[in-house]
Amino acid sequence: MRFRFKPPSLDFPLGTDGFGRDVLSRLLHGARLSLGIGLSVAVLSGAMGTLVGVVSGHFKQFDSLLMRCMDALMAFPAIMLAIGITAVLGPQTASVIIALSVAYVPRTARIVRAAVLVIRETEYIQAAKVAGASHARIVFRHLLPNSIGPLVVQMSFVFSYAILAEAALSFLGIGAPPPTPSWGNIISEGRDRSIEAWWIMLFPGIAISLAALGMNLLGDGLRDVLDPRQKTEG
Amino acid sequence: MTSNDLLRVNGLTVEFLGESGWLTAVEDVSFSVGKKECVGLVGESGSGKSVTALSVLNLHERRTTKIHGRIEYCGENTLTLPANQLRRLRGGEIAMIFQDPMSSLNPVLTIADQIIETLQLHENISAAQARRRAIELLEWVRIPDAARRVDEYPHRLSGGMRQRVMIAMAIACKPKLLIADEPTTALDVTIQAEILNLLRELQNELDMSVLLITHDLGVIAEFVQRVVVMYAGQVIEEAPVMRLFDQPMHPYSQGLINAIPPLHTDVHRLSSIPGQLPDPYEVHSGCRFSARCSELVPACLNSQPSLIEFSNGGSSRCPVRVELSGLNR
Repeated sequence: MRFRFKPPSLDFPLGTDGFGRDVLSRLLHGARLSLGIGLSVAVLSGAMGTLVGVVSGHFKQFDSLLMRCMDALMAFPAIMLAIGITAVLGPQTASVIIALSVAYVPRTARIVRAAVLVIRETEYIQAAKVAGASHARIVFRHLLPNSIGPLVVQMSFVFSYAILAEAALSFLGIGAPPPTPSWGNIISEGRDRSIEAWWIMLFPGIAISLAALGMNLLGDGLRDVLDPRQKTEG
Repeated sequence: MTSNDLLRVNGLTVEFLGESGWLTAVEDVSFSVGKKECVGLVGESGSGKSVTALSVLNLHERRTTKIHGRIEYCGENTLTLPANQLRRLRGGEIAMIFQDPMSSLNPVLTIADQIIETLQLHENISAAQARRRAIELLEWVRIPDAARRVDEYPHRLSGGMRQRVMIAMAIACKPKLLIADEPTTALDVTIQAEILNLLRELQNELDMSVLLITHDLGVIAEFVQRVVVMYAGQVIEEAPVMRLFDQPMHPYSQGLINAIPPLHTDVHRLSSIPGQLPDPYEVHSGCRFSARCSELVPACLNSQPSLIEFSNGGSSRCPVRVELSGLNR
């Protein structure tokens, strides 16, 4: 216990916490969980959002029903919804992933639906119907590949929101349970001694900011690359 | 109408659900297309030409459209055909090309992918065979260097080239009927002529019938044998192409012909038909063209004229002109 609350030094570049654990090691190990949750949420909510968006955009008869459900979900702030769902499922990594995925489905669904609504009116969809294509073929060959641009951009933003939201949930004590480190629960554990042992909260905080910023920049970059208006006609 | 007809449209009425109720886009349209015949469907924007064409393949959104009448293709009513048989018809027996070649090709698939897709939907052939066929088709529609072009994405082709690709896709399964919805409208005049020549050659080689939709009477004069003129959702005249130009039996057809600029004399103002199409929500008591007609007589406002059929083929909805012409009914 002689290594408790050591400030950053050559031996412990980012200092140690109340149990004498190296903050740098925990930070690196926590990246696995935080980024893993971010990625899982982006992929899961992307998949669910695409399903809902394509169904409501392409099959008009389900549109109002599905979109009103999405509106209802959207009426809750994502964090509130996630807190509610984790409270029901219990504090574990899987329930954090499920909760955040559900919370971010509506935005993705709306974006995919909007893209599908535009694409389904284009002449190449009409041409595909004229050629005798079935619904499945139109969806998988024509609608999905053409709406992938906005979807990927949205997923990268969800990635960064999810990292932030996971940190917030862990901070509130309903995220991934300790001792498994995540950036959120490292901050949470450092909270009590935040003035004396500032390094425990500062460095994971910086990591979260950088990761979120990075994903946002990636999203912006992807948007520029995938925006058809930016494409040069050859 | 004879047994030689490939397509027979009978009393077609199409209504769309608009913001203030159902509106009639096409009313009681009847015409036929014979085997190996080219029929032109003429009219200004909003006259119901494209709606009629889309009805042939039953492509309207079901929930917001009411369709009455019959559309018989080889004796089968396409309006009541189950979905799987309709899909067999679409692209197999009846093909369609659209106005805007820029947006008729899927931007994320290569030319090869798109032609192969059409082929594999209707024929049981391997991917390699389909690819060879795709290259042959591109050569057929005279795309230079087809073997290389086939792997390109649509944005690397010019408008004329894309229209050729569309035509290649349309004829891929050797359809019996080709519906061409303003196939040359979006193209340069020189390209227009090439595309029309190409269509004519293909029509001869494949023994296709063609339903050509256009508002360009120049195209009509060059391409078709028979013309159906539509105005405000109704057929107002049907005539063999030569008679339409020599002796139009409806003032609207006359107006369209007058609007073609003369080739060898200078004109300062192009001739046009005053006014615009009537509001589709409006209820008509008289002739729909009455507000714009220069040959109006009081009777035109009293009752809606019905189509008068001539004994030697063709019809007109203008009793005044028919009276004057002395053509046999």
